Amino acid sequence: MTNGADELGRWSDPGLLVLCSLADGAKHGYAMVSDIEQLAGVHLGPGTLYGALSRLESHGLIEAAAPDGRRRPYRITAAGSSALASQLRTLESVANAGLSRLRAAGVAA
Amino acid sequence: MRSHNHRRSRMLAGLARSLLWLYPEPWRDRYEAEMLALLEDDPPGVGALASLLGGALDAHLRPQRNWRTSATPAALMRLSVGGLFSCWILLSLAGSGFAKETEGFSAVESAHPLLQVARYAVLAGAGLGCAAIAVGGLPLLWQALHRMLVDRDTRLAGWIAAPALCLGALGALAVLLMAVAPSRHGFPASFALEIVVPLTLAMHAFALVCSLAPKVVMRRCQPGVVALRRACVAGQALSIAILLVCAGLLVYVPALVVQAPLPAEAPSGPYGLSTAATLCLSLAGAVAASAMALVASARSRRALRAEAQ
Repeated sequence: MTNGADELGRWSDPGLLVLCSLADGAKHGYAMVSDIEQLAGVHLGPGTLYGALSRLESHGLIEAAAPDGRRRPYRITAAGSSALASQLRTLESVANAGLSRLRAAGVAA
Repeated sequence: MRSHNHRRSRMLAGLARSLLWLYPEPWRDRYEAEMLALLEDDPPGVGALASLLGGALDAHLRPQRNWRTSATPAALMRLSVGGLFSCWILLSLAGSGFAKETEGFSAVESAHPLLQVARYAVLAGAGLGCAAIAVGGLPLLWQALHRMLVDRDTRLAGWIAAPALCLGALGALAVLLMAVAPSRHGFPASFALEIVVPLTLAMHAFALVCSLAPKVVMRRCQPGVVALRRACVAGQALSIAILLVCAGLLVYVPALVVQAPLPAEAPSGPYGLSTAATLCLSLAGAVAASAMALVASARSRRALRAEAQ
């Protein structure tokens, strides 16, 4: 299995948003779409969501739970949590560096 | 107003469900039920349709191992045979354009043996392909008809009849356009706008329906393994036939351009713009069909090996 943290960047935002959404517990498709919309203001289309779910599942970063009728919840795995934490730390350091540069340039941040 | 919005929502939901057919069969086995539930919970808009189209393309280009390896040999055989039949239908469209455009070219062909050899290659490929379809496809069609009658499955009947119905509609549209359009010798731009563009769009729609039909029919009727195995073997001959036709066209079209260059004074004559456009479209269709046939043929061999184990 490839290192999830290394590949997360290549999946761009949908994979990261899905992992963020699943970080506090298992969710099915519509719950993820609603949560991501609240979290990031992004409405993921069905094709984009299931493309991301399929890739994340294939890399072992999420796993499917027992289906609830036709709705199948997904939960984050230990590898997924670790990949998400690593990616968020990178994003945090980039965000901090960017904000401090803006402050140094005298732009309100 | 409300009923208009309701109709629009229902139409978009129906379109979204139809777009799921564009996904690979193993993907649908794994995710279709959940996706349908999501489409019920979150009614799709136009953006969702674009997302589904992009997702289908992505699933074909980058299949993920979690759903790709879960396909049974029978599902792989259905998929590959459906793909090969679709390629043959696409190639038949390209071939009929080629045959129609070159039916009066016997004088040029007898003067230039390369053209004649290329035409024989196309004809040999067409003959081999028809034989392969008869051996591999007819038993599957028989099973589909049997299932349709036993289950009284009207959707299956619709998909079986779809290519013929679409062909009839396409023919009627062509006749109508030729009847209402101005003379062929008029301004080429108006000829292109009034005939070539609508006809090309209609042909693409026809090709889409025809290429989906075998896959949908086989998914609905779930043919037996013996018939599928025979169809897979016949599919290998079919892929050779497709490559033969493509090779013939690849030689014929450039040779025709070199041997009989387009005369400037007769842009819509026998070697005019419409001939060049039709032959180039035929060639492009044949190359696309061959590329897809190679993929389907490799999948078919893999399925046969998996089934033998």
